[in-house]
Amino acid sequence: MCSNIIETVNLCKKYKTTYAVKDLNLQVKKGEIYGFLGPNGSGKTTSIKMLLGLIKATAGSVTLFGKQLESDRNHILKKVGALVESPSYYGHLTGYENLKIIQRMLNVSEKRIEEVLNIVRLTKAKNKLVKQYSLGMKQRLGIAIALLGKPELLILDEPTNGLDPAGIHEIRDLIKSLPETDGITILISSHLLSEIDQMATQVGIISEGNLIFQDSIEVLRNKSDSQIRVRVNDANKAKIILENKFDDSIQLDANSNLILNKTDDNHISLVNNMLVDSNLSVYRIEEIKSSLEDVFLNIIKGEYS
Amino acid sequence: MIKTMVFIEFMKLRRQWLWAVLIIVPLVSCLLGYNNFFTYQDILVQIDDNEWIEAWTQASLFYGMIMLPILSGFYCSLSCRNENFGGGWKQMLVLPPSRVEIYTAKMIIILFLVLVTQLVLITEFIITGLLLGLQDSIPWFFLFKVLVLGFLAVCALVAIQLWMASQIKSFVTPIAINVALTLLAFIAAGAEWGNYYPWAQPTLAMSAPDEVGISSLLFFLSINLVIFSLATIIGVASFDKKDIN
Repeated sequence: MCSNIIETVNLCKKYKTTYAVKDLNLQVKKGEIYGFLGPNGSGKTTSIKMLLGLIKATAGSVTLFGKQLESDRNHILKKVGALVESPSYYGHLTGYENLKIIQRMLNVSEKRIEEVLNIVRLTKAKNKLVKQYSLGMKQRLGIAIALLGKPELLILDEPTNGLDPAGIHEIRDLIKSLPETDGITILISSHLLSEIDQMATQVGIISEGNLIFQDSIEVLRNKSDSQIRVRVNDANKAKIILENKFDDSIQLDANSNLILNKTDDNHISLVNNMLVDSNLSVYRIEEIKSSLEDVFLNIIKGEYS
Repeated sequence: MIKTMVFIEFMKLRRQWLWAVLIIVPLVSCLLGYNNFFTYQDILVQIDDNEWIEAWTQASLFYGMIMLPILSGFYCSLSCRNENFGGGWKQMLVLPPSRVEIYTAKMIIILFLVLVTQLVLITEFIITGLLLGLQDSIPWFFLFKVLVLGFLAVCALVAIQLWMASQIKSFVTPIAINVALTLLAFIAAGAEWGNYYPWAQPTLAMSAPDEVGISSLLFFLSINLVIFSLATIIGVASFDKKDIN
């Protein structure tokens, strides 16, 4: 029995001569919140559309719940809730009518409409036309639609795109609360690591159509190494002293601060003593930690520099 | 499932002023027709002619040749516009119903709208005629016949129009193409190839006995069936293959 809810093997999408997605091997296990990251235009939406059968892959295969999408479409899609790209809606219908349409297509109980309206807090606005909704409300309606069939797999493509910070926070809290209550698997895409940082358990990073990282978020966090920044009255003199002593090249940043890559306590203490003994004034010794966002950017840059 | 899908398509047509279109377009055709009829009554009505049928030649001129082909194309475009505008395709197509079912449901609802339009036209034609004081006996059988034949002719046309509307994302482009092809029917209706031309078929099918009409019923029905089947098969197949971007 395969424990991967989503598995793609060498999935490709080629437009004329260029690959939008190349040899994508996604693996998403049951119960995970998988953060699917990449800059705009890197192939996230194309990949997601292939997962759901909206566009046909040029090569490769998609397996959801251990079954081929092509052969078991009906059975698979019953268990999937999806929000692809911008939210989909019928503007001339009310929020309730929009949900009613999906409810009929999924053949679930009508009570479920009130439930999802409650989850995304749109109960009060349910009889308003959707074209009068704010972007955040449309986004929440999209999530309500995705949740309507009590899916075992939820696929959300940039669910916070275009929202203000409060809206982003709200959607994040909503998504975080889901797996605990229903035990569902979530794939959520974003171009910002910070957005999924606090909820994802696994991370996949895609750049120019290639999956360049796929592992747990801890592994990604461990890549965020720290450095020590030292500010002295004469940086060039300090640099020569330290380089002679440790036989290691030391960098200066734009503001003439020394940047040390070795960060253990003993080493820093030793450095400090040497600088003081050389009659230099040490103003500051501080740790600089690169953020996950920097790590993310470095991974993407590193792959294509 | 198809039943549910048709019901859903019906829901989506709410608040689109469709009832106004359904009432006004046939009514305008009738009024233009009667206006012509009364202007040229001396020429049109010969001895032994039924006034209703002569009035019909004028009404059907506007309706069958212009209004109906444009209207059926409008129904197709409207039905697809609802999906294109708010991203409905990508929502519907990630749900269990297959693309074939979705396409079929749209086809059914459009043909239903055409049928209703036909019924409204005949009803309005009779009521207006009575109000204008037409004296002869109403040719019920003839009116029923043109209603059915006109509907059958439009079936083939709708198959082509839905194929176009489902492939072209813009709302206006298919309508514009359709209007252009409709205007071509003016030439086609008088020519031999008009019998094969889907935009001319409705007017030929709905014409009065003493006008240029379909050459033979069997021939007309066969052509119609072939066009309908071909366009539907191509339409469904290309919709099934289509990438939803």
